[in-house]
Amino acid sequence: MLFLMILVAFLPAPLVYLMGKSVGKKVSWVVFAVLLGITVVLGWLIPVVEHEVLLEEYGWVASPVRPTFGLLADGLSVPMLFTFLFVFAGATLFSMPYMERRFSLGDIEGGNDQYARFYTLFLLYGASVAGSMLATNLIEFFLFFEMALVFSWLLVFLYGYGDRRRNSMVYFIWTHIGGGALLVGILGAYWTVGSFEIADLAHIASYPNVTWIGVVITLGILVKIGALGFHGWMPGTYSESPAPVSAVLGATSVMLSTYAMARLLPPFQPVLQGISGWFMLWALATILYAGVMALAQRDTKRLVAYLSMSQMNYCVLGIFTYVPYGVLGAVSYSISHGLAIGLLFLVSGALLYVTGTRDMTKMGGLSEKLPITLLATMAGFLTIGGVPPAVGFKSKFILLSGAFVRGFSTGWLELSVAILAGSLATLVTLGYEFRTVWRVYYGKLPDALKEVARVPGPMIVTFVALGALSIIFGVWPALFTNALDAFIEHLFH
Amino acid sequence: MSVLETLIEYPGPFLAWMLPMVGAMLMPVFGRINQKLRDYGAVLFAFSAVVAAATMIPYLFSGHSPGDVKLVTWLTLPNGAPLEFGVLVDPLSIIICNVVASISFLIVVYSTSYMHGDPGLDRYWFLFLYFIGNMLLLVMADNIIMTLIGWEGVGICSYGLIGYYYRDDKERWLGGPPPTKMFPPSHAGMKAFVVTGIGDVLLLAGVFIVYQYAGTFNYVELVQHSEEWLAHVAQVPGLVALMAVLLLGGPIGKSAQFPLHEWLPEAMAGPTTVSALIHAATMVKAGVYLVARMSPIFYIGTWTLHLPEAQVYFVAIAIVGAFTCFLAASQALIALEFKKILAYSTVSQIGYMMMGLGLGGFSEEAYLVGLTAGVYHLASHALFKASLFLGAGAVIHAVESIYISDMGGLKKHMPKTYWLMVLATLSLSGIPVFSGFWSKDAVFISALVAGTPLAYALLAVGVVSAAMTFAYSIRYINRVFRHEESKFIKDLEHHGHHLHEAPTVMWVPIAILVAMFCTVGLLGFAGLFNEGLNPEVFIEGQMHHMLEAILPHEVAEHLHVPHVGASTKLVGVGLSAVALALGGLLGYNFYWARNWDPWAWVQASRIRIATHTFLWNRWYMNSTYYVVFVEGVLSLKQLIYDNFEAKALIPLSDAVAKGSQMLSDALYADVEERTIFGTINTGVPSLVAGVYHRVKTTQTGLLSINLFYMAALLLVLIIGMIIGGGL
Repeated sequence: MLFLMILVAFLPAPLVYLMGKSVGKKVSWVVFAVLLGITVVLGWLIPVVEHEVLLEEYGWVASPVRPTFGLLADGLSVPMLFTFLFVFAGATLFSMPYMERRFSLGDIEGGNDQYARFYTLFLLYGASVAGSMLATNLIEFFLFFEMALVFSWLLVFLYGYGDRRRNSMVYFIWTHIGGGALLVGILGAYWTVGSFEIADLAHIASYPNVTWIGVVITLGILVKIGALGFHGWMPGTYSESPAPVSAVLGATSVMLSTYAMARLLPPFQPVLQGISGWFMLWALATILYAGVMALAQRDTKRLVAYLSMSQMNYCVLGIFTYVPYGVLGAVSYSISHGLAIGLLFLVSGALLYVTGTRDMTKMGGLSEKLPITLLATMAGFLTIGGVPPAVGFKSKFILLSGAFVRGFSTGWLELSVAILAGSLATLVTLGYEFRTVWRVYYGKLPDALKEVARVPGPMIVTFVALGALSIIFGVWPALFTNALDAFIEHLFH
Repeated sequence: MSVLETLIEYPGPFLAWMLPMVGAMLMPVFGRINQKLRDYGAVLFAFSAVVAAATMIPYLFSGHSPGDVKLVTWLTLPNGAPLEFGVLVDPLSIIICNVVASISFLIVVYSTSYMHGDPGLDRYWFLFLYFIGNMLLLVMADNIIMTLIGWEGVGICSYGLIGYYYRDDKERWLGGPPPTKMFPPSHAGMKAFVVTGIGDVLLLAGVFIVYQYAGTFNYVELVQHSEEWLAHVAQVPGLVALMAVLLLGGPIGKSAQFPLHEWLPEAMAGPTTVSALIHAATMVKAGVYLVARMSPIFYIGTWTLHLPEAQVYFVAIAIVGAFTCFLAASQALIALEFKKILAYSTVSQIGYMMMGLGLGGFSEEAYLVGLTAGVYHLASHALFKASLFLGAGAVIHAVESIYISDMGGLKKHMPKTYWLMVLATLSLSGIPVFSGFWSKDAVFISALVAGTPLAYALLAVGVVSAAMTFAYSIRYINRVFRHEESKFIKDLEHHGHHLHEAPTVMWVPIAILVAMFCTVGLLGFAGLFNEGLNPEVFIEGQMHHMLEAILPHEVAEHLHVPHVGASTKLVGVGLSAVALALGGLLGYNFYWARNWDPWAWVQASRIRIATHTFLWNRWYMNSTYYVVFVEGVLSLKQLIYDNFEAKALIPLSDAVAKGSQMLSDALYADVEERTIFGTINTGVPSLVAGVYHRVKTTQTGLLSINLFYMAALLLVLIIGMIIGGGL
């Protein structure tokens, strides 16, 4: 079943390429159908994994150590992957009008070939992320993770704006620095435990000298999630990619990283507990720093990039509380954030599509021209700001209560982090969010935008779908938190 | 009981907030079908909330309320306990729910005329009904989380409605008149949300502390078990006090109390109906409600556990209330915008409510008196302030200016509005026998019952503020309605503009509100002869029922029901009389009879000029906030971005990438081309090497990647796995 799912994700890739060569743009519907189909299956699996874990194992061909190729669907991977692929499918739908415009700019050659390449890569990227979220051993995880990096790099490189050669190079190298650290950690773990199976990591902390492994893995993930100091690649990459690519990159960054942290780091609790407070502090510093940087942006996409960097680090904070509610909060928040950040990158793409600019100082008064886009922006901002009824309220609430639980149990450092994350960081978030809405949508409509076009149908459908999912999850959180609860219970038992 | 059975048994407390929310969702749909359908639909949904709320009134008279009614588990809490979604039906929530629902309905009716023809009505009705639903949810919720959901919901609606005229046309700006700075409506909405947000995050932090020790968010459980969990909190020195202050943060922000009061004057940028409902009658009272709702916890802390720190809750809010009361009254004395005067007046009156609730904690006897005073003044103020705003709306509608300096002589053009506003103003000023007199008197009496030196000091502030209230009331009534017409009006008439009375749909709701508070006032008077008729006695009885039901049995048994003596009552009335005499003297001479010229009086001395400047600049609080929190942060971010992020961090990461790139280029030149790879690439059409080569060349800019190969490679890998799995 899971295997079939992975197969269904990867197999159509060559087909998409060949079809794309002849039918061009229309091939996007194939990709959309594939992603939507898998998403529906995953949605159907969510209630299943509340009670049981689905595990499939296959022999690994011609390997000396014969690790198994396994796929695992549990309370962690299914809700996360469901949301991720939901965003991905949305981005595919959105990309239909968007990429047509992108290709019409004239800096990328080839007619149908471009569609064929773009959608093949797009599908392969999504499939790779799906693979890494279902993997049962570290080799498999790393392989899919690496594939995702390469495909996303190609997407940034081939279809980006501006100096895309430079941006994609920076992206490629930095994510590989992160990937390299992760690999070192994985090898270290193998060296210690003698197995690549993630399940075998459970007792790694009982071995001597394993602190560095936990730290190295963490650092690898922190690069991917743009922790302060490691974030230099992020604004350029995100803002100069085409909007559908930015959307899925943003969603991957937060969801795959949080997934990896929730999967790999809890076994290190006994050795990392002592320094985890400092990781929480680092996360808080990033949240505040990137929040203030978001205030400084004029470019809508750079703003979303900094906003994303700021908010993703809430997940790091939650994971390192090392209390059940903190981890649960981190995973829930990554789900909300993935949804919201996907939506916001797409919104900034739609703004570029209709206005031809990303410069907020040239915008204003757009609310009457783009009412649904305004609603989508608000839905994204409310989710991120943690305002009900959006799902962000609930997940941020859980995360912060986890941080407070941790703070009260260990000491002043963690408690001050919890208080500042709950107060100052929330205010900074509200500040840049509402300022942005004000700058883009309110006030006088500039003369240049008087005749602004309508947002195309597929984009609107995407906005409505993503916004609606945030509200549905927010009003009825049990839809996905029951599954997460099952995972957390298993984890902290 | 199943969900359905619960809903059937207790329809009122659930439908009251659910129906307006459903209505809100339907508004855009109705708007597409027919505009009349939408407008009448809004009225109908608002009315349904009135009916649902009214079904709870019999509980008040029976003396037995259902209490906590749980509907369904919403999520599981960290300690494994379920967070249940339910309503708390007790006298406090029933009274406030009915006040909110009925005033909302009247304002919805008024809106159908006031907002007629506005192009954004879909949005208006959506936000309006969604607001009503959230406000009622906030009041009815049985736990802090659901209250917070309603709390944020009303905040969002308030944001949307303050910034309703989002196009920021010049005539919608407020502040000024120039050279004083002016602000556009969208800015005002944002300011409101962010400033109240400060309070909200403090509240949230307080809630986390509560949860950490109590393990529940449910109000009833919190109060019932407060002896145990508060004792635990008290083991950490200062934590009870910290928790109290944090929990007050939210109410202080939402109810626009010092130091978070500066958003409310700007909130007047929205349509006047919005100011009437949200920024006078209901949302700003949410803070008062929450303070009252949580006060039993601190009552137990102060008088059962004898924790001095628990009393901080009462003392802090009483001081904040009294100071805000004075501060805002001083602003209402000099403001020129009609709605701003009323807004400051609202802030000032909420100060009385907070003061009443706070004074209740000064002594064990005062609790019930203070709680009653707070709730009584809340209800009475909601009625007369909504009338005042709706009247002001009619005036601004007619004159098309927000400044009272542009008005004057309107009495002859708008007699109905004039008389209705005079009645409401008398109530605001606390003239016997209007409702405002009785409810303000109740606050004074609670201070007398509290009987500590601090209580007397706060009482003195309250009396001075009452005198100022009467003075500014006389000022605006005269400048708007009685003085000679301003040049602005003369110009209007000269240009053929006909000043008109408010249409029936607008003045009738005002008249109903006026009739309501007049009835309350008359009942208060009748109460002198027959206690059973006195609204204050009624509310006190209800609060007593509420406390009996929610407090632990042994605490409730000892709940002190004070008997306020005639002498205390007389002193209270005497203080009101002093305030009225003082305020009346100034008001009469400056504005009614105009024996003294206010401007000349100010100009006569340097100290008076300085005081006026100080007041005109809003005690320099607003500007200080802007300099520190807005301009400060904005310039800081630019400083960091320009000098650190853009000059150091991003170039650094670029340099790392560049270095690696150069290294790999060097390797490429040496290894790739001169060794076996070069041979393979050119000679052998190997799939793997081909992909490798092409990926490599992509990086150097030769764009000829063939994805087909890559996809095929993956396919081979996967098929390999399948075969491997089968072996």
